[in-house]
Amino acid sequence: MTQIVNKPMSEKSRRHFLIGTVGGSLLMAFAPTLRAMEVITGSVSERLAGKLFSPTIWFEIDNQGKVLVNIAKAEMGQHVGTALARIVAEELGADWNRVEIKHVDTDLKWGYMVTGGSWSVFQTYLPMSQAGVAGRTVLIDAGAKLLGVSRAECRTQNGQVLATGKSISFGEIVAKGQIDRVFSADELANFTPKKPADRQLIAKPSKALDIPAKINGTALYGIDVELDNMLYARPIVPPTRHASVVISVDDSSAKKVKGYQGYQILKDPSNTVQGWVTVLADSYYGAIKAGNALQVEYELGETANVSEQDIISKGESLAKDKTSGILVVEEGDIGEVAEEAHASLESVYRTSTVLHFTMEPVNAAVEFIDEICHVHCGNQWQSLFLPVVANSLGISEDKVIIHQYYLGGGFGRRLAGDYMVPAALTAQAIGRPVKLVFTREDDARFDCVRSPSVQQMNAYWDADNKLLGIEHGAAAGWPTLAMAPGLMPEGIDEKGKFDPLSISGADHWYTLDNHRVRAINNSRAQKPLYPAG
Amino acid sequence: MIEFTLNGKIFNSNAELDTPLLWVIRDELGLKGTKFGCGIAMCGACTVHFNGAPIRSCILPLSSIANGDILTIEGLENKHPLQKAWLVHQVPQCGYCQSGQIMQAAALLANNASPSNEDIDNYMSGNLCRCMTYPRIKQAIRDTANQSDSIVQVYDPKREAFTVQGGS
Repeated sequence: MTQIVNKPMSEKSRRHFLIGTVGGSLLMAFAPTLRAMEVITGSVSERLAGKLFSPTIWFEIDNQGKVLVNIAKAEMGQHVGTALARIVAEELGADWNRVEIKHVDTDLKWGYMVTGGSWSVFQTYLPMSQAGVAGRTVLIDAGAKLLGVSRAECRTQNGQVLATGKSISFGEIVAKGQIDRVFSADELANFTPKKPADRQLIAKPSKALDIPAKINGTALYGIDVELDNMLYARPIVPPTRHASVVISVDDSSAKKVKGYQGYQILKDPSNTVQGWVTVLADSYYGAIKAGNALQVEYELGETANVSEQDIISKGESLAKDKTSGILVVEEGDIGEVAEEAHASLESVYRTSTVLHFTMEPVNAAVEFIDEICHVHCGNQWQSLFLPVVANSLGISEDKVIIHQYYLGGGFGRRLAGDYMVPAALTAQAIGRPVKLVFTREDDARFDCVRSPSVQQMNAYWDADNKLLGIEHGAAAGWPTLAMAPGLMPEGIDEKGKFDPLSISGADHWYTLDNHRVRAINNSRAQKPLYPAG
Repeated sequence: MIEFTLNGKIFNSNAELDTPLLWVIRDELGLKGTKFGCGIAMCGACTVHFNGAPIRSCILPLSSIANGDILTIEGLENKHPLQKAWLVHQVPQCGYCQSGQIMQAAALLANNASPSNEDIDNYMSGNLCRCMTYPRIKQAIRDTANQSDSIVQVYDPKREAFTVQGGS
């Protein structure tokens, strides 16, 4: 799965880094690789001020010495913004008490947005550190000049440039200096982060920046968004996720609910929602009650009667069939070992469907302003679902902005952004802002579940009880196939693609002379479900 | 129309009488710190105090709180000793359940200033945390209870501060 984010990150590592004074602040930004001629055309400050750049990550220091770090990662309990800000602050030598973070929207300048898989810090550490070193270099150069000392005498600490017996704060440097500097991708790549022994912030005890708001009720989650003139909506989810069609809706009882504002049968060209109805009211409780009173008749899809046991049984037969699946590991000759083995063991492991059950039921608030669709919600993979929202609405991707909030739990559920679609379609249909909230029951019924799985292991020993090898087949619904099939890598025999999320850890650290791993897509899980990581 | 006190101020609501208090607090009065988790009193995210007792506001109809006294997380005004302990112990992760956790814990200490580990487990068991912050919640409650020789001053800025005498 690391393939998904390695690509954007490696692009980032080839980018220039711009540092310039803009409107009284010192702005620092990654920019796309430019031709040499473009780099020397116009000052950095002009380009930063005129937004003639497309940075992926930036931070700034104002003339009071406050450091603002923009965070393009979702905060769902890991305090990721704090971690990323500390990486920058460490190298800058910033005063941690003056560091603030901001979770940003989906403007293209932030680059590819996905949060999950424990990648954020791991993959951002080096580029953010190098950006911090670049910032420190500039601050020391400017500080040394203002102090009248050589730059070799200077270091940074606690938001100040220090020389023997002299010091100047970052804020003062920003206020007095007109800074204009470009670091090439190669220069940036040559910066090395501090050695662990020299660190002032990283791996030292600290307080997370998001916690104060989470203990006094002021932290804003997607469900807390209010839009002017909005209606509340509740989805009426069909019996199955795929291929349901609404035949009729009877709202005669719903009309008796105070504040009931009608319903919408959603037509979704993106096929994210199939056979969905949304119920509208002027309060959310009204929408819940009207939803309970609504009678919807469906034509059911072919998967309507698939049971958990059907999926497991299919998985068992697939895992048992040694010709099934895509090869992920192939060491030695497991077929030969199986024939020669003195002893063998066959074990089958099954897991059931798992709900993510985030404490905050999924939700989204949507409004259109000047033909731009603004989606407000907490999400882990905005770059994947922004195009889906655009597709469902029949508008171009540049007409959709997803605004980020705290996530009341992620756990992979919010890697999918399926819940944005019914909110957006409803707001579009009624021409009015809508906040759509799933009830707990609907959230559980239409989770993008972790798929049921069946794994069969066959192990073989020789006459001396020495382990000869293991064959491992794992059958499940595949999240990457459901959400982003283009990101699936080829199997090692190049006979097909597989989902690395479905087989994570099977290519383990232990070397076996004979080892075969097959990732098997269980179509009976894939069809009725919408598997997510 | 139902009149009640919310964090020391008198409010009137014209919502339907069967409307759960949660939606009145969140959407009519605009205090978003109290959260919707389940709607059936199973998770505790919506916990507030009603006349000093912790209740699940997602099932309590507006009609039942007439002239009552409601306290939400905002009413603690960031001054409750538990909130300080929550900060010291860095309790929250995603944070969604924490308003409810703090309100439930505040009610515990108001009634029992020196709870045993078992008391804490029993009293807090209905407040779910999907991030599993339970050990830190418990430690924060214990630390608060242990302050100043087991006397906990439960701070309510809108009412006269009162002192609870603990055991041993």
